[in-house]
Amino acid sequence: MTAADSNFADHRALADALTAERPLHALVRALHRISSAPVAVIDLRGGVLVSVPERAEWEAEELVAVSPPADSPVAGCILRSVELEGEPVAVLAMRGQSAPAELLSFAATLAGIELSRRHAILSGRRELLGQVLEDVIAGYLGEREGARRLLDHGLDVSKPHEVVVGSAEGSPRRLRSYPWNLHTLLTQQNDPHLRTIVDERLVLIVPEKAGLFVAKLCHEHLASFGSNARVGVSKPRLGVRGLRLGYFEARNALSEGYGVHVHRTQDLPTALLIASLEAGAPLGDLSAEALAPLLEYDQKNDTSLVDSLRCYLGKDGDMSATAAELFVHRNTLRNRLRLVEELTGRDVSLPSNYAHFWLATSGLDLSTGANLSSLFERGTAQDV
Amino acid sequence: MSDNARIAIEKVLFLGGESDAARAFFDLVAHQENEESGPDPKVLFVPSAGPRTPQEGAWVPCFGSNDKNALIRQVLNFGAQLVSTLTVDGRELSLYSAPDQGLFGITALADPRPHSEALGEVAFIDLYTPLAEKAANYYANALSCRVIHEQVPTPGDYRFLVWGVEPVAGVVDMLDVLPAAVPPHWIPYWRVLDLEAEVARLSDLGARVRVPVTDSALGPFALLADPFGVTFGLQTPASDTLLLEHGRSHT
Repeated sequence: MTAADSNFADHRALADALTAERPLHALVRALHRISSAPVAVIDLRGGVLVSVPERAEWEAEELVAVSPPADSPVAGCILRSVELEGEPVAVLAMRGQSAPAELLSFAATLAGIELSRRHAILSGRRELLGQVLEDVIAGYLGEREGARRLLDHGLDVSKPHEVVVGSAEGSPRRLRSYPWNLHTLLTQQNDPHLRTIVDERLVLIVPEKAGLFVAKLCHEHLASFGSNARVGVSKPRLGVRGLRLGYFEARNALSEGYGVHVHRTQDLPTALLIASLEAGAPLGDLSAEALAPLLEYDQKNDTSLVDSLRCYLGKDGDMSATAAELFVHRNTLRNRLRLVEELTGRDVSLPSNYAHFWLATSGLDLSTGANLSSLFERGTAQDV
Repeated sequence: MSDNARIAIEKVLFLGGESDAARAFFDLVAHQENEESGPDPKVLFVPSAGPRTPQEGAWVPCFGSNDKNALIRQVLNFGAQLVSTLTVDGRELSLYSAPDQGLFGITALADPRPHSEALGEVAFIDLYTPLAEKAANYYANALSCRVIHEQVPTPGDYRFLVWGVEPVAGVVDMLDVLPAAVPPHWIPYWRVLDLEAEVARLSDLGARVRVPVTDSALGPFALLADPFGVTFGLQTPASDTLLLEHGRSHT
């Protein structure tokens, strides 16, 4: 057999591994057979995905410290970057230099192809889940139908879950193409925790008490490919309605800025509002009724009385701050509030009416799935 | 020590480290889908145990005996040194340093309880030490156990401590798999049903895989580091049977 024949046979052996039952394992075994050297695929956190021999010692953190790896050996190993959609996600490591570097590069390309194939399947499942979650968040699904559709994705909402929402500034495409957990790709199963993208944000639903661990790891990942990485965690919630609430809690906690934040409700009105929502009170209908004259006026005259009122309440009745926020003159704001009082018959400056309007605008927001920051402005997020 | 004094792993302590966070993480390790499993009562988290505890924390097994005082005399006679005495879970517990410098505890054996093979519990524990032969002989003498030394291909020269036919612990020649600078340490194994799924789940929680799912003569296992860097293992119920058969086959 000539050197060229041998080279072709080695490439063929590596390529054939992709048709095996466990392609990545077969690929690493094939490379080990060819090189007689220990070979491993290691994720960028230093977790060993596949190793032959299984118990070979790897200085995993050192091997992935520089990504993509340099051409020169690290800790006695030759390294090649394994890429998914053009981005490095792991390294292929071979101890010593007993096989041509070109063969190692070929194996790394094949590993990337296999991971991409598995990732495409998982991404499809995440898209389907994303559609269900979007419906849950928008309030389109009732408790029973929502629970059934989530159960189809393996989520039992009769048990308490926490919602984790994360974002980073950068390429939204990367949010979808990022593999998050390569071990999941190896198991050829679903994500261990439901994971999808909603409104260009990463969303995970995890069992009670797991949120903080998952959030910290998500933050690590998000910070690796985007700036201003931030992750919010909800309180544990039950049921479809609870999940929806959890999403908004996590999103509100996320708005605290860089890092990991856990939602914590402190004030009684917010707690009561949340409790009433969880109990199934028709808050949306009641709110719409309370604000009906304003909503009707806004619709007919293309005005923004409800938005102005919401902003005024959010600024604790501070006229100057509200006017600045709305970018209108104080007199314009005063006229709008006077109109609110005329249409509703309620003086907005009275404490009892203030609570009435706050509940009405918050309830309306929640029922329409609009921006809920006003609901949680008095809740605070706890830095972690 | 009387001939019928029973020896078993009574507790597994997590000493030092961020004990509250570690407890939260291992509660999640113990939680198994579709099982009403809670935290393993055998596993206890102790905030600090003196200067010998690694910063990130360490696992320490507590051997229980129904003749605790005799066992203490015996472990000291064979060369252990008392490190500290703690009150854990309402019981007094003494920590010792073995001749290989590995830590272990002695406590009274609780009333006989049914042998558990529940998912989400610690099923077994291995000692990783550079002085495997010395350590195995020490524990065999001190705990009145037998050593079964399997001459298996390296890496991973493995010794197995059994009391009667009951598995007590394993001793791994650490130099086969880790640098000599790593101090002796214990690695507990949680019992799970689907190893690969659990590895993926715990990776989602921040664990790092040290040894991916691997077949062995004593059943498949995996080794992971928790988010703080402390190593722990996973094995399946198959290992319970294989360990017991292994002990019986060498009587």
